[in-house]
Amino acid sequence: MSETTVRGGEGRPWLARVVSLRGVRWSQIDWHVLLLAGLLLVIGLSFVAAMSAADEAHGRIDASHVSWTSHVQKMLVAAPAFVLGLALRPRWLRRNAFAAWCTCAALLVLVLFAGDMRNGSRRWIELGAFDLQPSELAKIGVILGLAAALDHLKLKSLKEWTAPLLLALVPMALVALQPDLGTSLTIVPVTLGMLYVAGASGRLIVGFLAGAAILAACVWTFEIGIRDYQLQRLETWRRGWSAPDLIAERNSAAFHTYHARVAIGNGGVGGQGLGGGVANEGAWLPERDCDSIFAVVAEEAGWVGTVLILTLYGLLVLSLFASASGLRDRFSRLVVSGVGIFFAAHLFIHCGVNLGLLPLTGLTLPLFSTGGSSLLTTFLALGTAVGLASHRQPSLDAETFRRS
Amino acid sequence: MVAQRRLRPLGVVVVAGLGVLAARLFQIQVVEGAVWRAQAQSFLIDSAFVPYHRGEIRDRNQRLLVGDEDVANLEFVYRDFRRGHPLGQAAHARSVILGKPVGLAETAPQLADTCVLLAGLTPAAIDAFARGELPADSAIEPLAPATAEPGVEGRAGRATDLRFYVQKVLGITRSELGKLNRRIEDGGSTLPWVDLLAAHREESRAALLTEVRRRADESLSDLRVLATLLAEGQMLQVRARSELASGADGMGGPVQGAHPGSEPASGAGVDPLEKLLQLLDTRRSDQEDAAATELFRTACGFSPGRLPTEALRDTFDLTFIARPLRWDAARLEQWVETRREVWDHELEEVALPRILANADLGETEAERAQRLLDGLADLWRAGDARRREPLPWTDFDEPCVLHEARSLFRDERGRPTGRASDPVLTFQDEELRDVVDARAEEPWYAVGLLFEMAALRAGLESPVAEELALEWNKLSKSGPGLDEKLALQQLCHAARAFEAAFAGAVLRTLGELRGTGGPLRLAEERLDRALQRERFVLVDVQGRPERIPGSPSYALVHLVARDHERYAGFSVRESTRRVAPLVDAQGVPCASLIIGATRRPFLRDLVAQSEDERRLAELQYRIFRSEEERRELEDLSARLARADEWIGSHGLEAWFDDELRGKFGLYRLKGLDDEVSTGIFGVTRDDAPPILPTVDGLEIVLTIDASLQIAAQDVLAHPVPPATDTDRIWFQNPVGAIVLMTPDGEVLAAASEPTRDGAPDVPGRGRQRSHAFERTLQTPTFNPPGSVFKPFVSAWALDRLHFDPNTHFACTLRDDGKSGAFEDLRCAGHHEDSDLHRALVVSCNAYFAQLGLCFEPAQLVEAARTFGFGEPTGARSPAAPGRRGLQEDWTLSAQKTDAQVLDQLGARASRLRFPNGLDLLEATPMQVARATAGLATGVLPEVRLVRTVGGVPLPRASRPLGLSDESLAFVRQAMRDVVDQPGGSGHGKKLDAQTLGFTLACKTGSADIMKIVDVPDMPVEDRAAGAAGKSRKHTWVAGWFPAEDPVAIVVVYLNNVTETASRTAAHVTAQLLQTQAVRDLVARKGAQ
Repeated sequence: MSETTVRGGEGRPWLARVVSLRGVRWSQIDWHVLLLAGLLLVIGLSFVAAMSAADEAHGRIDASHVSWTSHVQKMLVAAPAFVLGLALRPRWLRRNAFAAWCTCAALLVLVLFAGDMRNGSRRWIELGAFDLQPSELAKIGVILGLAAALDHLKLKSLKEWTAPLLLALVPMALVALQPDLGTSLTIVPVTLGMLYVAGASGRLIVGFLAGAAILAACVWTFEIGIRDYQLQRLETWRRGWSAPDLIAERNSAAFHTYHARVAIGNGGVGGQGLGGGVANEGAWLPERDCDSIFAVVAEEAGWVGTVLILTLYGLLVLSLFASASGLRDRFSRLVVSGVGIFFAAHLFIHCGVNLGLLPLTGLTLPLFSTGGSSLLTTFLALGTAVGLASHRQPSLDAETFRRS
Repeated sequence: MVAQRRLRPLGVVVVAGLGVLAARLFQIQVVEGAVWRAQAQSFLIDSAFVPYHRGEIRDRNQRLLVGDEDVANLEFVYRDFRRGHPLGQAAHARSVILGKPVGLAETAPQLADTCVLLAGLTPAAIDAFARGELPADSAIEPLAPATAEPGVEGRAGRATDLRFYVQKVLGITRSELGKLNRRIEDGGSTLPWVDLLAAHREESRAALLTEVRRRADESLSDLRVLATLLAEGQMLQVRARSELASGADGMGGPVQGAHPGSEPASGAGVDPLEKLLQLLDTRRSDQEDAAATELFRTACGFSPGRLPTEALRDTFDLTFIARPLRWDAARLEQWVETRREVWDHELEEVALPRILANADLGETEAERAQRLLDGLADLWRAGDARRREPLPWTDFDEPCVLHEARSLFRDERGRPTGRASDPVLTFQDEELRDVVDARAEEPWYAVGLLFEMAALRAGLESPVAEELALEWNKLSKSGPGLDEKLALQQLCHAARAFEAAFAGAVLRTLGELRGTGGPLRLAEERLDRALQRERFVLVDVQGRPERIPGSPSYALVHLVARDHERYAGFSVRESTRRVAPLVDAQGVPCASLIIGATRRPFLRDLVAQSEDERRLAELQYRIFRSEEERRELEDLSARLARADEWIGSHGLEAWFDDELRGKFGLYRLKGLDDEVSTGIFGVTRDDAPPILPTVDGLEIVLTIDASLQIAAQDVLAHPVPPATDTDRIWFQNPVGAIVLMTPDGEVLAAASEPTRDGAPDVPGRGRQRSHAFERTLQTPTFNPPGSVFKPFVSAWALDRLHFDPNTHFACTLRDDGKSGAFEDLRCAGHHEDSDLHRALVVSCNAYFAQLGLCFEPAQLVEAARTFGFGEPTGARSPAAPGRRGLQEDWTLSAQKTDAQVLDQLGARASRLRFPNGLDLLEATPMQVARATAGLATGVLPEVRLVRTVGGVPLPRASRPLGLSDESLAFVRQAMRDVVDQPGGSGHGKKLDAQTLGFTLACKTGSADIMKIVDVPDMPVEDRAAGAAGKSRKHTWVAGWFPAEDPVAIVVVYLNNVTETASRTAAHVTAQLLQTQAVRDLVARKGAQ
């Protein structure tokens, strides 16, 4: 069904104007994207199953034990989000992208007041069987909002930068208030990436990144505007580059980093085999099913297996970029590339933290980590990207990007 | 195309990023792989030191005197009990439902009903409980009301625990659980767990519930049997609440934090089961307290005990502690209330003694004072700044709590605006530091000044700095050093002063932060820290095995070891204890005073080796070791004393400690889930060869004959007085020593009395009766040998001075008409005119006084030295630097140097007394025995207490006296006549051959030391005998038997008697020589 057909459907019921499976161009679906995502999902599932089995075998019954059943249940609950994303009508999405951003922002405000406080953070809204984490949805909200804004902007003047920056900074600030620094930070690369795709000067973005790096160095050096615990994390990260220092501090601030490093290092070239690593045997590694799942994967798959998985992940991201580049519609292109950047940002931050390339912060690895909201966001983003990409038309000319 | 141009660089960035990740992964997994694999291995492969058996000590006939005996200890692991015993499961299930601790004692009466209730829960009801909703089925509803805040109440975690306990109560296996979970997913969640299991097993619900009830009832019966056996073995000792935080371990440990209503029972008549359950509840309570403290310390960086109770209660939102531990407000309050007390206890019993011990390691006074202050300052130093080695006190910046307060709380009102300007502790006072600097040459002045100022600041009384400095200087130089009670008292006083100032500042600061609002929430990062520990801390604390004090009976060991699964949480571990199987009639172990004892290492020793201990631990957990590291590990393992190791305290146990100590073995243990055990009941050592093999200590064979030793001990403990003319008070309260020795110097018996401390003193006769003391090698009081010295002087005079034995000297009758004298030196009787032989036989002091005038002073000393006086006997052989514990007094005089002795012998009065053994010269019974052996054989042997060490004989040594046979024969004959001739000092004392069955040559001796003091509570018998003012003396008998062919030397020494040797020591000697052991000795020699 063509877009023309959709435009012609003004008299349809509301739901049919929003979603339509019949509107999906099945023949133009990027099956290789779905195949890659599905493959990664299965690999992730097998690692979670191994964790769950290890916990059961060791009789670990505390609240934080890993449950494969629960993970599968959440996946089943989240699966319709993929279908929803896939079936969304591009026209409706473009028209309502800002409304989606507003809804996410409202949820972020709501969670600050009505959210459930856990582990010192107010991030969750209880919805019975499912706890919603609005900050996860906010990532999609930012992608949609930015895509809608950038659809009409050339980013030639400072004024044109105002709207997209606000669209990124508001959710970032709200997420940081929860506080959830990891999620807040993922919005930065997504924003910068989408700005670049939308035509922003690469030099300007590099300059911005350089400025941010200098600013961060100053903040760290002079200890201005930084909390003690943040400073301590930075110090731990700095010292964590040296194996003896990290080992020396394994029972204090570097506990998490140390156990991640041990698990990864223990993997060697060939890996310890599924469920055979110390991360699962001892379960000392905190958050090993979500924020530290890469350490478990690296230990059990080894260098060869992990590089293979990283390659698959990279291919998924590149495939999304390829899909985006083939889209004539600027809004769709921005959304699909935004989803690709979203996956890439999660991959690099998550793996970077576990490998000690970045200071410690909690962030899931989409398609691998457990966590209902993360799964929901991942499926929705993927469905939306694949759905929009299926509406590709031959690109006409350069003006598609640089609208006058 | 533009799109591609824009997205291609992003793609390049992604590829480059992947490259970076792969490279970093390569660095960690391949380049640094060995390091991390070793770390990972250390999680899975543990190692443990396996204790050795300390070497045995045997007598000359291979009879065991002291040895290690394998014993079984009973241990308890609360975590295993909670997870494996129906009572633990039921009590904790109720705890998670109610959200507050429910005790075992409280659950026991309704155990079966609770188990049935749990079995009747449905998965849906537990899910509803997790969500904070009212469960659909009624079983759980009355206990778990609905809540709007399931997250705050930790309902999800509690539900997980509840599921576990339900499954355990029903005995669901792992494989069954997987199948039941599928049933639940298929719509069975509204069926009770018991029905699900019944359907799966194809049994009836009623049969399963009957089984649950039976198991519950049986588990209680089993516990009752266990409790009864524990009670019978006195292993259910209950401590009073006043012993709060006593720090003792085991079942009778501290009772702080016991659940309300679970006061430990005490006194007789309490049901053993009830008592056991209350004690288990106490253990649980203690462990939860410890876990809570650990969580608080992790989050805040300091111990909760550092805070005054009201500050802890009012300032801190402690829900982060209460929630994971399933505590209600009452339980939390109980923990809060006891923290300060526990901290005070730790301060006084652990921290301050450790500081003193560490200070004691300083080599100079300045270093000791510095260490003391550094250690003390470290107690209040902020956590981040604290190090293994305390930093200099002059670097003290800001006290703990006040330092952490800046980043402790989440709310703005909980953040101090700046740092406190006024110093809180005197360590921070710049002026004081300047004053101390100015007087750097007086190291203890700094201590005095800081302590005085701290006391003044706290409003406490204190001596001035100079006085305190003087006192500490004295404490440091006197006795064993700083590691003693008085120093601890002084330090406690000072610490209380510092603590008072600190507590005041903490109260002020936290009060200002809190304002009028409620408790403050900790900052997120602080909570995160606690959260990271939360999962492990309780598992860790509850998983630690604790020894139940006492010796379990065979029945108890058998019960627990045989039916291990029925006594979840209880286990039996192998251990050793030092035993002495041979005892005398009083139950005193054979030769206990000369063998000595073992003890745990002193804190000072442990502190001194703490760096080495850290290194040992590092090497222990290293998976890959170089050969050099392996040798270092072996050396450290052999050298370092462990806190739970027995080491020689004194006596031969200490002297031969290096030989008796073995080497701990280091064994690899299997994976994480294997029981870490080295015991006889369920060994789980890895099959791999040990890292270090266990090496038992060497066996030591003594020269002592156990029969003779016990005979000597018995005689000394129960001496039989003669019918008349003796010192009955001494015979009732004996103090003295006996040595039996072979003529070539091997000690057959070395007995001392008393053998136990604490016997009451005899008023007016000194305090020796109350002290168990090894008296054959030591002289705790002035110890002249008296007339037993005369034979040695005689022999030397005959040989070296060519003294004519027919020379006659007069013994002038004194005014009393009974005793004789020469000048002012009196005799016990009047001996008229004697030659040397008669003078020896009757022991005429006047004769030997005049003989003394024939000697030059140096010749008198030389005579003594010829017989080994003024030199070690050789009993402490082999001598080597570092050996300790076996004391010997061997100098000519305890108070004077040899030069002073020589100088004093220039005085006529001393020359009269010295040959009589009455002045300047002191001797131990061992020295007298050795000299007597020399006299009997003509060869002076080195004394030996040990024959072989590890099967290797100790070298022997002796030297000829260098005196002619004629001289020696003359003296020997005189000594025979002491017994045989009428008028001899040993004649008629049952020392003759007819009585003993063998001949004896001996000399008696009585050395006056002082007068008996008249005290109000003097014994009636002493008062009636007019003892006040009488001479107190040590009396001796020294000789050998049989006289013609010596088998053994005998020396009997009685301390502090009122009558002469012929009325005291001679009777004890006769009693000894008539014992069967002595007769057997002579008979054995005769048979040879």
